Amino acid sequence: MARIRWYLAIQPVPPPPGRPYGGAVTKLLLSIHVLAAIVAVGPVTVAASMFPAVARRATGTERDAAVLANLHRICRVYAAVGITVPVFGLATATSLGVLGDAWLLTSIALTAGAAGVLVLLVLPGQRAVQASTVDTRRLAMYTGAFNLLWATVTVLMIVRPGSTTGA
Amino acid sequence: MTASASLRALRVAAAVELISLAILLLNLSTVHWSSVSSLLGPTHGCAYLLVIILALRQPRANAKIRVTALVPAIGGLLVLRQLSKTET
Repeated sequence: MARIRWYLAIQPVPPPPGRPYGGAVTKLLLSIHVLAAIVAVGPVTVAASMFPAVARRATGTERDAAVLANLHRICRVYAAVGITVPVFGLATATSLGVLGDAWLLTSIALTAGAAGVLVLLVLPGQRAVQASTVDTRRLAMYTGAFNLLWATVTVLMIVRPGSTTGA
Repeated sequence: MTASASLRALRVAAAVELISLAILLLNLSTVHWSSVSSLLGPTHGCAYLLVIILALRQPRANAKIRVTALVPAIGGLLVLRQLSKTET
């Protein structure tokens, strides 16, 4: 029995009947997921990273305020668009049958953390900087934490440690 | 996001929320193609979550409107109706 268990543990789990790995729908779901990640998370990363630097150099002119407002708007709008990334990610994972894998559960937890940092710390921090001349160092730290979290998730998605379904 | 752009996005999300669910249920009760379910399921989920996020961000939204956004399928439409009421 133990031998069978050991054997099963290192063998790839066979695809569920009628739903092979990498079917057309799975590929489409994965494409949407990756495309959404690039289109939604990319702008947030760039705009959020620029925000503290622009705020630091700002001299209180109307133009500076407009630039900051625009950067904040990009972060806000694309954070909302970013909801498609985990939703289609979960759909892809279900379709691939990898939803219970450790690398994926870790990614989900880290993604939730990154979303929490963005919505609860970065976006309110940007509003606070816009409203007054508070210190931008804390906001820069939060932004760095957000970038680090989702970069880790991206690496996990590619490396997939412990995955048996192949690259 | 300006108020009108946010409201327009809410309109689109509300429509997608309802139409996608209608097609999903229609598919379930008739041909039941798994690929339709696989693709429209996440689409409906995204629309549902976007309605909630956009409703939370509406400057005129009160507590009642925010809770209404959580209603499945027609939450977005109910929010739009209540927002148009607060306007007058």
